[in-house]
Amino acid sequence: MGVRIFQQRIDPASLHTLQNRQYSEKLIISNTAKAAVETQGKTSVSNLGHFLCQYITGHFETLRDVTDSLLGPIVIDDGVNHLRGQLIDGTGMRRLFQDYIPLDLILSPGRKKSNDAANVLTQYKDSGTAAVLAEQADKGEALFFPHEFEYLFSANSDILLNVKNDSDVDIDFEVVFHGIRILAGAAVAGI
Amino acid sequence: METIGLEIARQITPYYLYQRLHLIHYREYFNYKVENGGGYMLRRLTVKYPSVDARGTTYNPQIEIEHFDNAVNKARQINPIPARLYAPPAGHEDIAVIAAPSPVDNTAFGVNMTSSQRLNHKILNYYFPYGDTILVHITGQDTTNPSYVDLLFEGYFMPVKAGKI
Repeated sequence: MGVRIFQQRIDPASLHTLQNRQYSEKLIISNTAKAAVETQGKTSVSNLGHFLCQYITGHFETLRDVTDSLLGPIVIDDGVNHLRGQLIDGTGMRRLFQDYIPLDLILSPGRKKSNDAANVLTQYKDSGTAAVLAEQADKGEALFFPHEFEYLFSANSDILLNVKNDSDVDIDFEVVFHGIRILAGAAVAGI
Repeated sequence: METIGLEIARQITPYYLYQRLHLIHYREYFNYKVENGGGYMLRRLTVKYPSVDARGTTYNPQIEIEHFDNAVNKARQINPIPARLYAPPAGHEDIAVIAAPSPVDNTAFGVNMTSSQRLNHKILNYYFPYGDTILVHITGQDTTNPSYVDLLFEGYFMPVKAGKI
């Protein structure tokens, strides 16, 4: 399905005609998973046409609370995954995962370093005792490879991602669906 | 380049099976009966288990996986294969068990693991006909460590009758 540049002659005219009907596109679910509850992330396929998903990538934060003796709860980034998700095709609510899956098992690059954490640049020390409450957060991961996930999402449907967060702080996550938009007939009439 | 065949694309559905197994015995099992109406093409297996325990003690368990083909009553390989050789991140050295801090405990055993990067994998392409059972044996653990293992079967549900799912 991909274009192999060195294996075939590219005909600009036919390529342009095809591109007017089908082209590479990315859809994103960007949301914040509320602490200790389930949050639904959603993106719309829209009425442009069907969307053939080929790969998914994504990243998320890894945050939790520690208690400073003077300031109370402080958010730190300790690298522990707290999110698990269930992907659903909004058409007929078809579940694409049998159960909630830890996001670090399915998403690349996965963990990202959070600017919201007290230990993002240096280790965090307790305000009263100067004891180290959290070492400096590790670097975030880099994109290693997109995860194969081939599925045809219908026009006008929604892609739903229900995410449970068992941390005691809110956590941001983003998932990108890489694929091909297949324009509906009405959208390409006359091309 | 070819236009995309919608009739073909409509016939497959990605379906991921996830299970956290509590490792109590020297041999543990994963079972999943493929639903009637379609077969299951297992593309990849992701396995993850802690290599650092909650007290910070490092150990190096080697979990081994044995796939079985129930339909013809045979194993798919002669010997169990170490998970880290084909199903990463397996027991990556940084994976630790962390007690879930939450008031809401969504995990099976009240613990989380450190986040790990999805590394490369080996494609399996094991096909299970409908009604078959996906069966995996897990060995390599002792009675203490690792305490559990996450298994993620990544594949596609494929209808027996084209276009009917």
